[in-house]
Amino acid sequence: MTGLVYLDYCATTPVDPEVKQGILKTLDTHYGNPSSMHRAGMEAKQLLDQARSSVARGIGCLPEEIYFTSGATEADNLALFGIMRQYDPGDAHLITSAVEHHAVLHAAHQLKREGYAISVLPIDSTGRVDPQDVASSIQNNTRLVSVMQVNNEIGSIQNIPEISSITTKNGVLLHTDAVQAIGLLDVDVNKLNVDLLSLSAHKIYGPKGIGALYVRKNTDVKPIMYGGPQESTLRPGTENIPGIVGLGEAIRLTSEKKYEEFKRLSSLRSWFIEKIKEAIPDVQVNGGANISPHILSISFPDAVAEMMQFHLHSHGVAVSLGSACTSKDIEPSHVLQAIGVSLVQIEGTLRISFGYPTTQAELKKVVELLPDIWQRSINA
Amino acid sequence: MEYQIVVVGGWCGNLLFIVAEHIKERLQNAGFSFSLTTKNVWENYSVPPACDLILQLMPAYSKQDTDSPIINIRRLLVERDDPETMKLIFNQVKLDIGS
Repeated sequence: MTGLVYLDYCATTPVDPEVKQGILKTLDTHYGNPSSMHRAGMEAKQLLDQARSSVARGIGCLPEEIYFTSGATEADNLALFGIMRQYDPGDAHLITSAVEHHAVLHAAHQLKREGYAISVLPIDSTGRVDPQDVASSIQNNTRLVSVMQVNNEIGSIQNIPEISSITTKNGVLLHTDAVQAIGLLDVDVNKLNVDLLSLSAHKIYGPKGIGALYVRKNTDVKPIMYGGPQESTLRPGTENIPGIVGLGEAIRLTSEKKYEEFKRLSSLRSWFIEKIKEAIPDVQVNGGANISPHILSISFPDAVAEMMQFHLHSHGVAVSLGSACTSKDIEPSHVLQAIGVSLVQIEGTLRISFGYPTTQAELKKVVELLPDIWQRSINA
Repeated sequence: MEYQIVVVGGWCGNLLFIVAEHIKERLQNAGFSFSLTTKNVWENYSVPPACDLILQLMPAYSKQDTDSPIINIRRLLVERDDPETMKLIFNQVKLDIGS
């Protein structure tokens, strides 16, 4: 989009041109059904296999451990319901954190309605789960722990390796939603030692509507939909080849770029915060030191963030908020509430997220706009 | 000409209507005669023309933008009958058009 300073990469990302080329190829010439026993089907199957291998390489697993889904929401649901519903409600306990994405939290709430025991762990003021809280919450019937690798609102990076050492010791499965981690952090299922992992294409310069669930070999997961034999019957339905190819390409490309981008965005983020603080000293950055460099949750004193968002939008800058709109209310971010941010501060919170295309020139424009926009957005 | 009140809000469109309807009901029950409309800044940010009172759920306009009195009604998002806010609204309306 010409002229737009897009700073909402946590919400979604533009499709990389190379990813787009890969997708277009499937639409033009490789349109077969991978289950069909003829040339068109076989060519599509080959693309499917290549993409699966690419995703597997990207996260350090075997291709047969990758199951394609419609996105991370479905992957999260499949992980939680697929594990827990193998057990009677009285015989299964799930542990998760207060700052999970709604795809995990609302799935957990549904499990609770079905009679399963759920523990929701608190987090500290930096947005992190204390692994010892995981340890002390594990019961005899704990079947699954689900903790996201990077939080999508404040960017806090969880100590997955330490959590996994606890779950492994106790014979409990560990799932992590790695959606916000994959584009920048090291996401290797063996280094993390997780049993299930969710990921999504549209957060890493791939298309919307496609994701994947990693399932460690020999881990039983019950399907949540039923149909044909695709994805070893765990996720039936004719495969979304364009999307899957897009995901494979996106993972390949981000795997090549992420280490350098991590450094670059770390530097940009620090610079950006420093410049904002020079102009508006009383801003508060939410979350602690262990934060993914692409996410900045920042609260502006006495401001109505929506007004700031509006004025930024009028100047061609796209950012997100710390609240959401429901049909009857404004819902403050459950993540910001969980880390102890006051409702007044949440009202003045913007989420600004950076991506591979973000430049210092773009951020300089925003830094120049912010002081006046903040003044105009003060809730007098 | 009828007393014109504009309730100004943002992307929470439903909430804007809910709050506006509530204010309308309260003022009508008190016997005031007026016309009340809503304005979503995301659709149109121009200052409401020919308006006698602006009630805003967010700081969209200031005294620099308009001669019309402006009341911040943001508290009504959380508590529809916030006493302080309602008092400000009623006092202004009474001042402008009498009891």
